[in-house]
Amino acid sequence: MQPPTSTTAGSPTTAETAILEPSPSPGRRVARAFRRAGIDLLYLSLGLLSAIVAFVVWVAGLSITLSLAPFIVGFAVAIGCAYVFRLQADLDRRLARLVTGETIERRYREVPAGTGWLGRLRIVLGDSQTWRDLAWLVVHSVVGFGLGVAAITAVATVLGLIVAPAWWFYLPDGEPMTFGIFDVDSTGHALLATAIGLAAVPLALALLRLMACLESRIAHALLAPHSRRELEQRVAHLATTRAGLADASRADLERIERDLHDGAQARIVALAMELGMAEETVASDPEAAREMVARARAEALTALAELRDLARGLRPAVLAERGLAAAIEGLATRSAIPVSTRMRGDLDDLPQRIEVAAYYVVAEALTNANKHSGATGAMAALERAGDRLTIEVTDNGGGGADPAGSGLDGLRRRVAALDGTFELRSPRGGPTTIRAELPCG
Amino acid sequence: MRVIVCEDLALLRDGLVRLLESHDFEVVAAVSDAGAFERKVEEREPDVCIVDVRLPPDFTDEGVRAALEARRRHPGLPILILSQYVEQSYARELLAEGNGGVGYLLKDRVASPAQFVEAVRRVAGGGTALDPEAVSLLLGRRRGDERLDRLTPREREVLALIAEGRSNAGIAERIVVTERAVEKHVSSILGKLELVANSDDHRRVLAVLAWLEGS
Repeated sequence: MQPPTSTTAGSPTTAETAILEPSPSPGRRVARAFRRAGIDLLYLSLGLLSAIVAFVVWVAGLSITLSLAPFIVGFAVAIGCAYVFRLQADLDRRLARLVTGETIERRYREVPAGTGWLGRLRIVLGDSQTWRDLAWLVVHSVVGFGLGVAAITAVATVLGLIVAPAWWFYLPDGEPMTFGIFDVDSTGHALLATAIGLAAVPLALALLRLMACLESRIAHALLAPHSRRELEQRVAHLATTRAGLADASRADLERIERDLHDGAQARIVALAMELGMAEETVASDPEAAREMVARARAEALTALAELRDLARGLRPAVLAERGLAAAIEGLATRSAIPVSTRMRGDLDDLPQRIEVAAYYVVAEALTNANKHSGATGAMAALERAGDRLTIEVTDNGGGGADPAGSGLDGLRRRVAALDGTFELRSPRGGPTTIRAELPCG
Repeated sequence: MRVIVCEDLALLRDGLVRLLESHDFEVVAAVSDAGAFERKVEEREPDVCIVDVRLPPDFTDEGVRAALEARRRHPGLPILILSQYVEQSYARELLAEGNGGVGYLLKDRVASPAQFVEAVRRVAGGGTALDPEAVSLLLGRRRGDERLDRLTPREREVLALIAEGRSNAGIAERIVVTERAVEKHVSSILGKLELVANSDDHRRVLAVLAWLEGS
């Protein structure tokens, strides 16, 4: 077989690729090294500044929190303090970009909307990243400071050595320049200093590289999500949401069973009974029998309607046929109280499970508004912005909805199973607002 | 005959009341939950009670529990349990005390008013009314038992009717043979199942059930 050449038609060969990306010339390599060193120096110097701030932050944060710990306000201060730590940590995460080209990933345990102070405190203090932030601040305030000072000193020394003749020339006679290792007290010495300085440049570059890498390593170790920890958390989260999903479907099944038992099944029993009595009466009292048959027919029609509703509740056909927006309009139309709808963004292109969840959130919220709230009107709003779908249903009823009620709890689980957030605001006296956010990327 | 009806769904409650009244029962109370049922039992001294298994607030087995409680306070109070589906444990709990005057029927049976009413009367008279569905479940579970396999198809049919609580006369009417022929079948069945024969309808049913339920 012939080796591929540039004249061969087809995909680019290895040779061509090499031509497209030539190995850098020595001159370019040097330029690159200097630019790199400049960035490293910038990183270490900014690191020095941030180390000073970090020192102030952790010393102040810890002492205030510890001194207020015995008081109620200590809780709030502890949370505030953790958030200030986060600000500082975020700054250092961004700085790491100078070395690795990307901001260190940030991951904190999520605090669900509507969590109280204590819950928030528990989540924040239970988040290992909070403590790693603190560790970072302490370590960084020492190491970052040291590395920053060392970097600036090294660069200043080297530059000082290189330009020693110029200094020497302008300095008053007889005043030696001290460089620590040796003093410049003659022109010869000054030129020697330049030579040493030039020779020390590669060393200084290497040192800068080393220190910058060390600092960014430490930052990554403490500020990036802990991979094993993260996996464990992910597994725990998945287990919870999976359980939530199972519970939600069990609740659905129970609801369906109840609906069947109390609805269609009971009607069919009543209808059979009516027909049985009619059969008995038809000979003796045809008129009464006719009435019974008519009642039986009415029961049959109602049972049919109930079965249809039940089937629709299972898998709203309108969703598949006409999309979410039309399905929501349908819900609004079927509601006994007037419902206004507002839909924004592209709702046609949602994953099916998101569509179904959104439909159920609106359906259940409107059912509650109709049944329990005493509302005279409601509004359903859906908005998609990027990869988030926000659903909000508000009614003007009496409020006081029970978040543990089977319908709302089912919704909460359903939404959580899709990694979404669910919020119920229903103060006594109203209004009631149900808000869900679903990721739909 | 004085009846109390306890059924939470108004539709069925009203239907049952109409059905019973058209067959000359006196419905002395029609209630929708266990608490009201227990109060009415004290007040109205019914001859028989018809109770739905599932009642508010939990819709599990409140009806059975209320019925058992009522029987504990009034031993022998005839109770007919109505259910949407067959649940073996309910039947067993009701039959466990062995006093008679119990019934367990699917709601479907109200579609044949005459038979339903007959079952109510049988229970009120201290007999047994076990739903054919429950009986066939019991018979089905004992498939493969060699003593049951010895029965002829006709004898199995008769056995199912015995287990439902029917008298020889009732069975004869049902399968259209003479009462004499039924008697012969019954003694053959009891013999094959190694059960002691006796004339009391209810004891006979209990014997069959005890055998069917025993392992």
